[in-house]
Amino acid sequence: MKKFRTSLIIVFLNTPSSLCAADGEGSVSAKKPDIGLFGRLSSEAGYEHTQALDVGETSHAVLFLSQQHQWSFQDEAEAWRFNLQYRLIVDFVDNKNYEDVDSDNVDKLLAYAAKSWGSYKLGLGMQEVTWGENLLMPILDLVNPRDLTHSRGYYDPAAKNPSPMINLEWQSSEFNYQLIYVPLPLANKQPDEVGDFGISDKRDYKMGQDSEQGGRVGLILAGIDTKLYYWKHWPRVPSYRFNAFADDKDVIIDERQVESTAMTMSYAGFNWLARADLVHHNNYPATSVSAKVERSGLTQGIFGANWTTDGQQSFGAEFHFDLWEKGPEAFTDGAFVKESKDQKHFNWVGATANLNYFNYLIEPQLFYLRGINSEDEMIRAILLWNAAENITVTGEFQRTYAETSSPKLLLDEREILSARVTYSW
Amino acid sequence: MKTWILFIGLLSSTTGVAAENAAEILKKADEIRSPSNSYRMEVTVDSTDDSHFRFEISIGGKDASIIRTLEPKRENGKNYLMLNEDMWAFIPNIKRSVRVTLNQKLTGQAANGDISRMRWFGDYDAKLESETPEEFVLFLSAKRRGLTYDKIRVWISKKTYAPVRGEYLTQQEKVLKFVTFTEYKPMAGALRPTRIVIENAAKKGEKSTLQIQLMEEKKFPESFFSQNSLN
Repeated sequence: MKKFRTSLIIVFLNTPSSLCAADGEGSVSAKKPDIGLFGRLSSEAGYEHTQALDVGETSHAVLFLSQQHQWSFQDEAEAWRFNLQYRLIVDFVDNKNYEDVDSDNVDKLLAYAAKSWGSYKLGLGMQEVTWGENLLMPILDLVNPRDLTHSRGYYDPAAKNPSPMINLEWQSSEFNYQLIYVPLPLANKQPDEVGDFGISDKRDYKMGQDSEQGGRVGLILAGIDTKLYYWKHWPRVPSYRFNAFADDKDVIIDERQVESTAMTMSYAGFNWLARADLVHHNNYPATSVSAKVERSGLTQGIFGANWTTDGQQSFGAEFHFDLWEKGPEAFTDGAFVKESKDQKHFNWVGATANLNYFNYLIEPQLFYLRGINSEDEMIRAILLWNAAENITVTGEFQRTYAETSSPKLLLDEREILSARVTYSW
Repeated sequence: MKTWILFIGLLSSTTGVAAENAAEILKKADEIRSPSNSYRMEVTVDSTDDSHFRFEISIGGKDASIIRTLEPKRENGKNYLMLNEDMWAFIPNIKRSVRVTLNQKLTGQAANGDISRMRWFGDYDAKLESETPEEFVLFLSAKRRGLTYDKIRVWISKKTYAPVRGEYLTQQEKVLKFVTFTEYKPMAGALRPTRIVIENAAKKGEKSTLQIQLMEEKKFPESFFSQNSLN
């Protein structure tokens, strides 16, 4: 019955956009008359298989359907637009997900109304916002919570979950502004309990009093895109505290809101690009083995440059740093030692390559990050094969090694291989 | 002495008239290529490498545009924003817009600027290089960094001010691409070229054909042209 109900909902959701697109124009609606139902619809479906090489198990075998709808009642740029995006999944490895169809089968749901008028733009509802210039380490991408169980890891953009928010943007002469208010925050999705090892998650955010808020002001001057940010939020990188010898679960999440201030810059030349992200977090919590949660100021930065050849091959280099005002116990001299009062800094260097061969038939991508004063290492190698007009095959290898004294890659010590086939229409 | 002053005066006034004429000719040619303010169009681009793309382009004045990829379907969502000379691309598989270099190509021989900046007046200084009984030959030099081409030589019909063909040049005036404007049809209130063929000068035979399927005047609010509109 539940499966039937889910199918019915999908058919219902598809209907308006399908009708709009039925004019033979593909995803662009007919331009006449001025009032009616106008929409766009793009869809993709496929299969994704993820193998955890370090433990030798299939961790996910997922059938997915993603759709992106946009409707409006007027064919005007200033009309209200209603947006709905969802990703429905069935994971054959997860018995609960496979046998009992419920909200867990909705992997992602964005639903919001948006309107542009004059120099203003307003979005209301479940949305995702992306902040920051650098791509693979989202040190400033803090507006939305994350799915810590995502098959491709915390750092993958798909691990981001939408939040209910009021999102207002406007422009005045040289400056552009953005204000965001999240009245009822959503928490990061935590892993399920494994045996006796579980996470005691007592977070229960209250509407209004636990809200997240902040904004951004930007200016493009002489080609340099500069933005300043402020965001008061719940931590996105989780901090756990071990709770040994207690009756409760073994790991506790103990959170307080964090205030993050940031600046980003980017400049594009004809065939090169420079990017910088600089973020300072106040009151940043760190995973700890002591009874007391440690909090410290943390400054993070990423400076990168990219070069694109005439053949559209792109190569990049990055420098990353984290500077803890007070080195957290677990990342300094080991567990159960006195809390450090010293600054602690960590540096990494990275290299990226986005290539294409045989006229974009094959598109390899590579990201490599290596610690300078640690043994941290992260490799992501993606091979994209544009097999047909509508079919893409993607293979990905990901390996992450985090030194025990490193706070950067703590969540991601693993090795995975994944393959995905996607059909788009 | 008087003769010299008269000669210099005559020479400078002639140059002034020529420059003014060249700018006016260019402005008239621009008005034939596209409507002056806000408009929307759909363009297909077929290249000799067998690729086929369809784009929806929203243009707000001279300096703001959004290009949406409609076909092939696997590229759906790969959208571009251009504000003045700066450009961002929305990359669907990483679900975000990123700043991109100015040499980013759309497909085949077509650069972003070939369909998002269909006006030369204002961007280029124009000089009347030569003329034939049927055509003006204008030489255009970019006024600022970041334009798609540093220099352009364009042949414009004397009778209709319609652009006929052109050469896209490097800073050193080496020909990069040849372009032709044909199949004039009524669109958005005027007779406009609907078929634009861009050919690589160095690799003969490599070309892209831009076919304008639809062009209509349409108003866009200023806030429409933002990175947030790309997803």
